[in-house]
Amino acid sequence: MARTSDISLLTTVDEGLSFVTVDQLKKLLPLLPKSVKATRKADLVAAIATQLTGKSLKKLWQGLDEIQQAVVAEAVHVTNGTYAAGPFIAKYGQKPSWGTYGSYSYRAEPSLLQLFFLPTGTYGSGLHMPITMQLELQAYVPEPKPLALNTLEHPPSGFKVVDNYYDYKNRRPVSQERDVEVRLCETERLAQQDLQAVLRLVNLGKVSVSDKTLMPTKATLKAMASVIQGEDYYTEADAEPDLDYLDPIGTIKPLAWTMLLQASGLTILEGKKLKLSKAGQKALTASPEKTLKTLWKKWLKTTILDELRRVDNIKGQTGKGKRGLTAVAGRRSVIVQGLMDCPVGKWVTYDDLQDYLVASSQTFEVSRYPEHLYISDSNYGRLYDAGGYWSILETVYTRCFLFEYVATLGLVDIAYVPPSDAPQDELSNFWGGDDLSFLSRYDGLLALRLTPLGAFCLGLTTDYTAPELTTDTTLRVLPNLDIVLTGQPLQPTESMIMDTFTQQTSDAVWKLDRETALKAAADGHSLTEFQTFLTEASADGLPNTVQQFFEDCLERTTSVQDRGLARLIECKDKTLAALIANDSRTKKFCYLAGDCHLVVPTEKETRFRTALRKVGYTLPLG
Amino acid sequence: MSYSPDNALIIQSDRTVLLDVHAANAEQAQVAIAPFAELVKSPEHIHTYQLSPLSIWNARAAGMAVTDMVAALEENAKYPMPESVAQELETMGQRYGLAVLRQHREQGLVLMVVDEALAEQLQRHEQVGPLLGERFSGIEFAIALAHRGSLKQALLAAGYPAEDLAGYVTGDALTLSLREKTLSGQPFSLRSYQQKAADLFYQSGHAKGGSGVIVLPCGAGKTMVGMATMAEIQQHTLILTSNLTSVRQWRRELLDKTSLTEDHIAEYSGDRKATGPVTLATYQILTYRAHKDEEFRHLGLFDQQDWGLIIYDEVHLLPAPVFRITATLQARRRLGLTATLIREDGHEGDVFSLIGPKRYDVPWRDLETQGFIATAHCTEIRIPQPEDWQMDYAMAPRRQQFRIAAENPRKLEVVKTLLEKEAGHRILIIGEYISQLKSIAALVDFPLITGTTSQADREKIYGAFRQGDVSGLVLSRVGNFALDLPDADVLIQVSGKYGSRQEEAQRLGRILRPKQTGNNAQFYTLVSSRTCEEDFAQHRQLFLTEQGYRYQIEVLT
Repeated sequence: MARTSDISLLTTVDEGLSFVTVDQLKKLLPLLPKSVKATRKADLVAAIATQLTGKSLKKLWQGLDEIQQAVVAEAVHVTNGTYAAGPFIAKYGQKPSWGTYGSYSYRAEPSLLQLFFLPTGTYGSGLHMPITMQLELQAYVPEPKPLALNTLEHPPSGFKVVDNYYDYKNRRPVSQERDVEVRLCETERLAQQDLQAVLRLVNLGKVSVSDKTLMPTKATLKAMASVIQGEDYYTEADAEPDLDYLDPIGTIKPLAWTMLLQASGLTILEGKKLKLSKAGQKALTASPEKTLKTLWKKWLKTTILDELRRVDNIKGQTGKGKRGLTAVAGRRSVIVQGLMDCPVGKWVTYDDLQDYLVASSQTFEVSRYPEHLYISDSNYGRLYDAGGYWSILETVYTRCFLFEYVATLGLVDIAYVPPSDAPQDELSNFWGGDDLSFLSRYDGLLALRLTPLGAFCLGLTTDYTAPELTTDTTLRVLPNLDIVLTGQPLQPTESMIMDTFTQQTSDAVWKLDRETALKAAADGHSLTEFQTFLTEASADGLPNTVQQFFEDCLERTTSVQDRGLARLIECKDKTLAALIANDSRTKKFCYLAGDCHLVVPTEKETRFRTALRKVGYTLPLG
Repeated sequence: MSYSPDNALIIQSDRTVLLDVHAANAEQAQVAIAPFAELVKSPEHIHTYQLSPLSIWNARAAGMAVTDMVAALEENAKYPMPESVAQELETMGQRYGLAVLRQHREQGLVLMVVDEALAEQLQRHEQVGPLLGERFSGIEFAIALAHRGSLKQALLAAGYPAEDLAGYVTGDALTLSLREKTLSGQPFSLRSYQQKAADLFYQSGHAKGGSGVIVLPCGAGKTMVGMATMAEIQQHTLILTSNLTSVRQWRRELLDKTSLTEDHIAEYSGDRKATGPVTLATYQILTYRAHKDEEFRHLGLFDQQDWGLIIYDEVHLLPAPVFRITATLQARRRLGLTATLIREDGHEGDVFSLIGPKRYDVPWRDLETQGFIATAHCTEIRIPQPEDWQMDYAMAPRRQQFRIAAENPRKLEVVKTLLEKEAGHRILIIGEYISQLKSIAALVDFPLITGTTSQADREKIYGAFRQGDVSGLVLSRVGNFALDLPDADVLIQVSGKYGSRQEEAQRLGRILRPKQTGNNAQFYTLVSSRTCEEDFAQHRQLFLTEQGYRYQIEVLT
């Protein structure tokens, strides 16, 4: 993969040396294998150039330390003679030594590496390795180590953090060390259960969003949180009362599901309520992995939300900073490329994934004008320093995308800590950063693991076998149509199913009643699915009376059909009504209703009017 | 405490306790809660108990501490017990014994409360206050004898149940013993549960016993329990029943199985108005009056003798005037007998407070398993209506639809088919509508008994059925109760009184008496499909399904 320009700006060593000042050339002399005495620039260039080839060059190369040799190897074999600091550091984890620098440039002492990279004479193009040198070095400089994504068998374990504060009582600063426990969230199965739960919640009309921002209401977030498995990543317990100086974390999963559903087209907005679209209705009974894949694909393209908007501490996004923000689809595609390189079932720390993206130059920028965004204060906190290869903007964006959407959809399992416990080294470099408990609620993301579902959604595999959703719950279905919970407490999804189809009569008892079941069926819920659920959850199968109950209900749901809108026509007398209803020209388009009335389906109205005229009557427009 | 799969109790915040009979510790749980929880339903898989004030007070009366009740529940709970249940147990348990009714030698009936604050509270209570007489001291009130029942009702409603230790009047003595061999020469002894029921009622003559209700399935021998109680009390007894047929059956049984002779047993009915040491009467005669403005002229029967025991047979049928008079009879021992303590009018509470608490109950299926009642197979047959009939049904006002559905003519064909299928069995066909029953009787050539059939004719026909001279009977609702036809083993219910659970259970009871051979019974209920009769049938079946019966539903096309 070409990672820099294919066109080298420097051909020969002489050419490069000619752009070096005499003072700098003189400082290079001691580095050469053979001593040289020259004072004129032309002599200096010639003398140095002579030693930057052949055996002397090899000797010089051998004199480089390991990391410097890596820089040369990258330039010779990968980067066409250039050195890109960001990707190099991301790959090797350290900077090469280019020499020592004093307070003034004349005091700088170059290292051997500077003999291999020379200026091009073009402003801003940096240092290059001359082509002739590259060709010569190719003979013996080995290929650099290939770029690899670091993986782990196990997620990171807990770590220690030090809390520094001032003890006002004893008037002394205190440092206290404490353990931070890493939390794991295996998302694959949860996502499939949550999907059903949130779809049902929408179907119950309990999901409301702002018609302007499409953001869910507080009540919706609460309702969502109550039905999703294992609650949100962070719960109210994380907001410890004695730590009220910490910023609130807020919700992640409930909001993610609301946005994912809206982006997917499985829901439509009616007023401020979300309703299931036809596709959404189908998804209620479809296999969840296919729906999740659809949600994933749709999310990659959606513009209903820029994930950066979820980072409350980055200000200016709706003001001047908005213009500089790049397209979200492009940002997401870069992260997706990185995810595709993650092996299934192996843990990858967030830092390693980020390094991998940077090292492979798979980067993106969140804003073309980061200075239009700011932290805390618009006068002092502007993010001038958030440019370059990868800044806090890209970090925070990637973390949000992975944590809130990729993990929620079950594509990756995650290991995380509370955001306030996450290392915030970079944040403190920015004005106002010290005042924040964390930059974003996603800062605690430590590592992720691509799931089989993730591989399926990313297109890495074509088949996916969902982990079986076993029904642990044991219900006793009694002949008197009572359903009693005798096993594990119901899962939120199961509770919703029960609430939809039955009446709860006490803590552990639900009653099947026809009116409730028929209402559920009218709302688009599948009675057959519910019967299957009960059969699976029931320890003894369904009694005959209950089976008959379902048969009766199913028959009643199909006994009356909605055939669409119609127009009611009143005739002067019943003979006329009978005439029109039986005339060969009009009878195809109307039905007799009672003695003097005809019913004309709306879609047949025009043809009915035409035929009616042929019969000798007309129907004035009502 | 979290989920404990082996434990059997599911304790709910409405104070019902569900017992999972399949749980590993089910038996232990059953024993643990029996003293203070009342069994309400016992379908297969799950039994429902109620922690009622009465059941808790009964347990407290027996010396059980509230903490022991809470511990018993917690130890056997499958899920954590709701906080509120423990608190309510505590509250209710503490209220027991705060008010006590005693018979004082000089002052007569006295209500004694625990402290002056409660005395003040009760004196100001809307229902209790007017029933309190002179205040002897800070905590004692005189109570008129006539108010004993009403006061107990009012105190119960106020949440301060009175512990009634005033005892009972001693009625005139009656020497009575149960025979070991019946008059007809059959060996006779009480079954264990019958003896237990009688003992639980009588409580060896203690004031804590002596009033209450025994609930036993039809055919399980409630009459025997009544006789056993009479034998324990040995005093004059008034027996109230639902109809004349039942009066005759009681007489027959008393003569057959006790030492009583014809002279001891009197019948107070429309035909004869005699009283004796044992007097049999019907609710109808007690509540008879020529005009609605008149007094009930026969209620005086309660005072005509010094009864030591009043037995209310089929107590769920107790009419309102008898309720009222019963409120004044609290000094007499009162025994209620029933198979189904459900009243569609919801007055079960009045039975508890005026007759007494439920003293004994046993799930129907338990007795079936032990062979004391027949094994019943219940089948609902859904029959479509003829097209024109269905149209009539559809066009009829809602109130008339039920009758149209009930009289579905295709039921006759099904009855005929069932008779062919059950040939050789003793069959009862029972229904609500006379015209329908007449058609069936004509079709199947069985005698028909309705309310207009004279008592003499009824006895004759029943006798013929018992003798086997006729293999089947067609009965109107007169056959619902107190009909002793032990050999009947097939019942076809062609129509009923809307959704009456009690009627359904009583009708099943007609065929539950143990059989000489087989001990199986078939209960068919015919229902018109796609009609409101289906819904009513579902409601009718509730009591029986809660007793553990399963209905098979056959749908005809």
